[in-house]
Amino acid sequence: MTKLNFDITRLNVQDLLPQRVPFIFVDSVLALDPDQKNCVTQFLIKKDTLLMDQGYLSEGGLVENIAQTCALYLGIYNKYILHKEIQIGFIGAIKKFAIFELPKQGDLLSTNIQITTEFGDMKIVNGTIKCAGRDIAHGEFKIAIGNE
Amino acid sequence: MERGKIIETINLFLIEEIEIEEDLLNEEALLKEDLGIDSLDFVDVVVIVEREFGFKIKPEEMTDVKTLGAFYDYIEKKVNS
Repeated sequence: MTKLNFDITRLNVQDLLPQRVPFIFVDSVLALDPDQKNCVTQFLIKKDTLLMDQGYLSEGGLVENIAQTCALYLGIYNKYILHKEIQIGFIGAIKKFAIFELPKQGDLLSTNIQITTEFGDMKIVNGTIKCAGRDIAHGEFKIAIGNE
Repeated sequence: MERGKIIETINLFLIEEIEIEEDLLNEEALLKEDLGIDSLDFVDVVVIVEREFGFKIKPEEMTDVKTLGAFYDYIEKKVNS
């Protein structure tokens, strides 16, 4: 069983993401299980959040929220478990992406990612976004890990 | 498991999911050059093999698997070992 010996909720996500403010769509990590290969993050939709459309977070914002949750999992895994440099991941493909509801400013999102398959530098990740306990979006992401 | 069943399963997946034309599927076909299966596609192949044949492909075992025939051979060997 792999354990992280610090409070993961206190991590500064900006230290682990390649993206920079204001293009940040995750506020904090709520949970991460290296053995189960999953991670849960939280994001409050703010007045100045990018990718908003008429007060609602757009599809692009939801995709970015899941992608950044994947990036955080991989960043934490590389830095604190493998003790390696953080690698940059790229979205290779998105399949079966479904949106049931667009969240609005003031909504708090909880995003869960689960790595289901790994082959070399490729990963298949299932991502689900919840808002107020409801599933509002989910999809399957293929992530390619860069070598630089 | 018979080789014919393995070929049928793999080919059906390549045609329906990766959208490779059936005419291109022959044992001499090179996975990358002739069939255009890149690493993004191949991770889906890994999933289908695990689901249909019950084992996980290891990247290091694929080093010498260049053709579709060699891939059938690899699966046949794994499922019958």
